[in-house]
Amino acid sequence: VTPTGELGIAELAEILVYERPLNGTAQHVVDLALESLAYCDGVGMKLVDREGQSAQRAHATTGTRSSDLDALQEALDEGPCVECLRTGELHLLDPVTADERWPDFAPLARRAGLTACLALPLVARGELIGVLNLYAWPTVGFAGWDRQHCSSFARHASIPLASAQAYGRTQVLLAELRARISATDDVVHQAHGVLMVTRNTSLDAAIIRLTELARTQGGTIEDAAQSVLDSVA
Amino acid sequence: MEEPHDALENELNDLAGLLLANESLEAMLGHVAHIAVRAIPACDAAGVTLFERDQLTTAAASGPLVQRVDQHQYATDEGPCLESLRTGEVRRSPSLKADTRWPKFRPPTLDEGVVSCLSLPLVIGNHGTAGVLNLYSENRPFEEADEDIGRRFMAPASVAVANARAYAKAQAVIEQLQEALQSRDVIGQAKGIIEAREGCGPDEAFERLRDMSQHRNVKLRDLAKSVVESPEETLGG
Repeated sequence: VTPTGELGIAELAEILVYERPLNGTAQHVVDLALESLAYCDGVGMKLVDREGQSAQRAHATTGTRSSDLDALQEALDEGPCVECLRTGELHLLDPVTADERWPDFAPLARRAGLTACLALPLVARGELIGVLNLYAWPTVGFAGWDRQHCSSFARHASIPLASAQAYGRTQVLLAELRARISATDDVVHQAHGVLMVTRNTSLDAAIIRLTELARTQGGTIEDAAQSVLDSVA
Repeated sequence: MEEPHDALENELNDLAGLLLANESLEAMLGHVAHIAVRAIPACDAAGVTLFERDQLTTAAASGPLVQRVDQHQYATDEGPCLESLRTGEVRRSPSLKADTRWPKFRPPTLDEGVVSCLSLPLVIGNHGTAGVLNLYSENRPFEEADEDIGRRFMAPASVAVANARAYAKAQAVIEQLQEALQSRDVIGQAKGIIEAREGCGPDEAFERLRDMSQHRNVKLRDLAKSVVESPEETLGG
């Protein structure tokens, strides 16, 4: 294992999951893979969410060539990435066996210059959360990947990614709750509170006052409430 | 048998492998403390001190000794933990008995049977020191080798603590918002009172309610109720 390989894994343990959105964390991980894994020319990653939240899905790549290869596998529903997501296991596309295993994807990939692809499962707490695709299109001297080390990278990467998804779920819930809290019928209650202060009166009197206001203004109770709130804003 | 080096790698892996889930912040920090006890040879007890809202708390500990010794530091306002927190640097006392740095903290701590201590600051980027991982020994001194291992713990432990804290904060806000939804009438009224008195918007008014509820350790609904019933007394003249 090269020193840069160790460095990549150490950096995975230092990802603050609340600092950027899930996409940013996914991008950081594919960049780290490209930087630290030997014989990597491109990297793609797909995150899935078992709880079905689209916000916790993500796709990150290190460049257009990788994203084209990811997209091609998805479109053909064939290739190591697709297989990995289906089985939860590592799958390798190499020049020797490629055509037989993936008759549609392999020739197209070869035409695009691809030499090999290693799809690594991302698993946290026994659950498949996504796939990390390593692509190689070297001009010379591709000696194959150190599978053990690449798997180790994927294992370490799964932790911050799963944590980022868990944190992301709290953010989705928070946004939903905030929206519900600021929904319109809250305006009426607020207006009651405002009238208690501006009219120096009790809650019951404020409630009656607001209904009267609505009647004299000829609008709904919400409209009247909004006008009361605007008067103090 | 496993090589000691591999054993340490395993512990570091465990630390890096702490996953955010529906676990409390204290439970997460407890894992960090227990991993430290396992990985650092001289360490008999470990705890995590957090610094929040100007308050020091022992948020997790491997055993009751940690709380007692931490308390001596908080009470005397001196010791390796506090220094580590203030300077962002590691503090090690190989022999507490021979150490003259903390005259008030030393006697009660020696009485507890602690002979040596090591404090590792948990520093998150440039956000300052969020807390300290405190290690205590009742038998042998923390040597330089212990400190070296400890230093390797600092980055992953800091990150684990920062992530867990952000997650716990989000969870706490979620609980408050859920509570607020259930009692939106009285909270809406309280917000309106604050808006009228201070000329602020509803979001700001809600933030104020939330802050007050945390500071006074009163439930949001109960606080809102007392704002509506007696605004002057609750919010101040």
